[in-house]
Amino acid sequence: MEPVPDPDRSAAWNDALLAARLLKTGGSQLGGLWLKARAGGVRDAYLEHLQGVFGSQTHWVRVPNSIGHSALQGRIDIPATARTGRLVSTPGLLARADQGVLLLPMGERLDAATAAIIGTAMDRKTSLSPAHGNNRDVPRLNACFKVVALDESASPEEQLPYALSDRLGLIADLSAVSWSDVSGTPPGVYQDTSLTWQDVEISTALAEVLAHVASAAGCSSLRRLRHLTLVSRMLAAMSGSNSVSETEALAALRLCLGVQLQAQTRPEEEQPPEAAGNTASDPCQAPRQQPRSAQSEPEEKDRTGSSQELTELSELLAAVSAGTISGVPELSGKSPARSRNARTGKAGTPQKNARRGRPIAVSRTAPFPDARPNLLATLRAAAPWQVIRSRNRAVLLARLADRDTRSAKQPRALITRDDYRFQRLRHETPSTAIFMVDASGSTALERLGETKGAIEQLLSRCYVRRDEVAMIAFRGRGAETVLPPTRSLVMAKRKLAGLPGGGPTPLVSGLEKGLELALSVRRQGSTPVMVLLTDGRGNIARNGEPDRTRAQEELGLVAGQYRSLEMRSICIDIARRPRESVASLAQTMGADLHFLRHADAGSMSDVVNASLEEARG
Amino acid sequence: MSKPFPFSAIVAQEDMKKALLMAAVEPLLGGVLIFGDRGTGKSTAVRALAELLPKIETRAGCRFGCEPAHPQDACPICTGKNGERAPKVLKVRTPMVDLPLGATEDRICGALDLEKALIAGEKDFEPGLLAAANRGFLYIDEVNLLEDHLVDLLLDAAASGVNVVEREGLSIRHAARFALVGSGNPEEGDLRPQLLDRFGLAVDVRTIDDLKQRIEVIRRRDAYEADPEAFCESWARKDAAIRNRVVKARKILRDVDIPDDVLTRMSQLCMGLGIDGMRGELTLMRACRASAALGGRADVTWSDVSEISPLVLCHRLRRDPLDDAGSAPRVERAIAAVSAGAGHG
Repeated sequence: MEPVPDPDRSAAWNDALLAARLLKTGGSQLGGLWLKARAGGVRDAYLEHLQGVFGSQTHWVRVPNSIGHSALQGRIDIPATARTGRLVSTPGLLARADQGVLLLPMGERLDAATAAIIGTAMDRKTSLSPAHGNNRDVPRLNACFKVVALDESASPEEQLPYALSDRLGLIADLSAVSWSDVSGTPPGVYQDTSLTWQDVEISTALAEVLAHVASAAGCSSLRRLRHLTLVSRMLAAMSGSNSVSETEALAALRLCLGVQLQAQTRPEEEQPPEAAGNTASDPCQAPRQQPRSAQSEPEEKDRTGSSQELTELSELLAAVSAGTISGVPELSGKSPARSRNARTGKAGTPQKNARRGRPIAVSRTAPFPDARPNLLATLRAAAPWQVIRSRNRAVLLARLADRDTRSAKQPRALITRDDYRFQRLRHETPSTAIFMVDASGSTALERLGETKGAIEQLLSRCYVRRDEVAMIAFRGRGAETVLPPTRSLVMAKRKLAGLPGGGPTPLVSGLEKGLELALSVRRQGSTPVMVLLTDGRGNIARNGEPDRTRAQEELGLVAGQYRSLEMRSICIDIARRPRESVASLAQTMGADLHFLRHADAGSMSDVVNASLEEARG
Repeated sequence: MSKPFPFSAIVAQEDMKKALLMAAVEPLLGGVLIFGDRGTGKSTAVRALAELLPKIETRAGCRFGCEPAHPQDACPICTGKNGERAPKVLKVRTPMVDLPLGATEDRICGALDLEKALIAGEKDFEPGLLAAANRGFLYIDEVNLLEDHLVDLLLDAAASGVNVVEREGLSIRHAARFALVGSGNPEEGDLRPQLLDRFGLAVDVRTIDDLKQRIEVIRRRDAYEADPEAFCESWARKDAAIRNRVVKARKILRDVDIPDDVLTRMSQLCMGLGIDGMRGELTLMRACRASAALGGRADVTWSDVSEISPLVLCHRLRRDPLDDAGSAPRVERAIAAVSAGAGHG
């Protein structure tokens, strides 16, 4: 890599270093740090730097991604309990992280419930054990920690659960930092100023501007606003001033909101293509020179009425309000975090090992980690063996007597590993309806509205049966997952309403995307049901070129995969008159073919509904 | 643990505060559901409420929250079953039990006391969170992420006021009269409609839009973090005023009268909105009583009804789940229609 220092990149690194220092000062007040970086040398170097900043006496607790709730909150220590004859519980990871750092690798894979548990502990600074320690008699364990969440998300569907990202005050994005910036930086040792952040005042005018920018950025959470003011005060304290100036406020906006702000009040609206501007196409990598580019934006009227020295801030505010600055989209909180494995936990877990549902049987193996043994069944299994075992034990003890002088007391019940019994539960297999919607110009103009209506009907039925829905739309040059599998009807409705139409038909990309999603749904133990709504005139090849013949060939291949993978699919012809092309596509896919007649959304919804019912099995 | 943030210092969110106070006055309301954006002070309000409420009497060491005058059969301490005399009466804070998301069924209902079973070989009952929450509040953050069967269980106990344990050879009944408070963010997943209507009141909280108020929130929070004791001290008088209102409201609650014409119109309202079953109407009646009692009045007026009914009815409407307009306007229209039909009262 070229050793030429790029000012923006090193700025990102410097910001990250500053964030480390702030985290040290602010501690659990700031919640923690949201570190957006892929695994690699830069991230390792940064974490090493963080460890250096915190000092060697601060302990780090790493939370494995697959952690069970009881491991997080504490559980009964079975060996110790058996040894001492008293109930002994081990503190969970949260309590062990007290006064230290809780490191969450692969935060974007964390499931929502785990994130909520961590979030609650952050709020309360105590850990509440569900396993032991009843109500008010038992003191709660302290769990005052800082969180460092590593976020390696690559696509918009993966993101840090919102319960967590909302509570992390600082954001550092290392994706734009190159190795050359890092190697030059020595592990920082900072001298402390005599001021603490409590001494620093923030003027109401400035606080208002901060609040305004934050809410204009679509980040309505009051937690974030509080972090924002805290950070700006800390920054002022570091520079030895006792009131917050504009520079610090700007820096705080950069560190807490990732500065690339964006009005996301109406998420249905397609992002204006010029939002990311002339800088970068990937919004995650949108660089940090935004304050500068903001200055070039047409200036709006200064509506805050604050004094002139806040020009740069008010310009930023104007740009943000106008929606011309792209931001960290997750911050707006409008698109909910939904980790893919939120429900089932482990990929491919068979549903008979459900954590909930009706009890069906008792088994020898634990259906899931942390399962509590069924005590009665265990004792019942052990009972017939007691006489034999105690006789055996007596023989063994007699043989050991000369070697081991410890007096062994006869336990009340001799229970061995084989006796443990666990309750099995059965849970109905959920199904996921994946809609692949042709939003191209050929259909869009006449029938998109009608199609949307039909989908809405289906959605409400899915809602009643607690199925998940997902939606993929294809138009223009490619397909996109408009809605990852969700149960949230609010989201589905919103996304559907905002679905734009027009452009050519990349049917192949749509089918391909659908297949990917279906496979991932299937891996999670849910049954996908594919619903393709198209008029069958694919004219864009997979690479985005307008090549009708190639598109046809590729279409055959992808459709064949549906058949060979035995995807349950339904093909709905939404052209004005039934088309040959759709019929042949449905045949290749092995799909049921239906027509959407005019003003007859009801019957289509019946068709899909019937398929979903079958899929449930 | 330091003192929680004072209830009276919470900025705006009047609906939420009112709903919580109503639940504190009338435990039979069946719980409050607070759904909405994050960082809007949901958990802060609930925790503050428990601190604010008057203390309750119970006996030292009692784990079922028995009233000293009416000990429960299940409680070995208050009944003196273990041969000892009942311990002395204590005043404790209104129980405010947090239900952690990872909690198991055993933990919630209570289960066989493992320690005693293993060591002494005694079959004894270890009370769970439902017992601990008796006469207080049970708070579930992220109720929409809780396993469905646990939610069923909680709602059942909350509605009946009794927890029945029939498992592991135990057969126990004990009182579980608590106000259930659930909070969550609907974008992470909805609650099943069947569950939704078992909550007595549902509040939709939105983040504060007013800039001045937002700043005020930050300022108060800062002041609180800097010195919790002093901050609570400065709000103590306002908190005490609210506490007195609740105490007074509890006293007069049973005497609050609902005039017949208001009752008739309530029924008209529920019928007009097509609400299934009687639960909506009953809850509306109780909520209106609680609201009037909080206002220190002995009569329910129509303005109570029109103020309260969105909280009680919105989540009970048989609605097209895709209807974007939401149910609040429908309720408002229905109220307006009923008011117009019967003249102003």
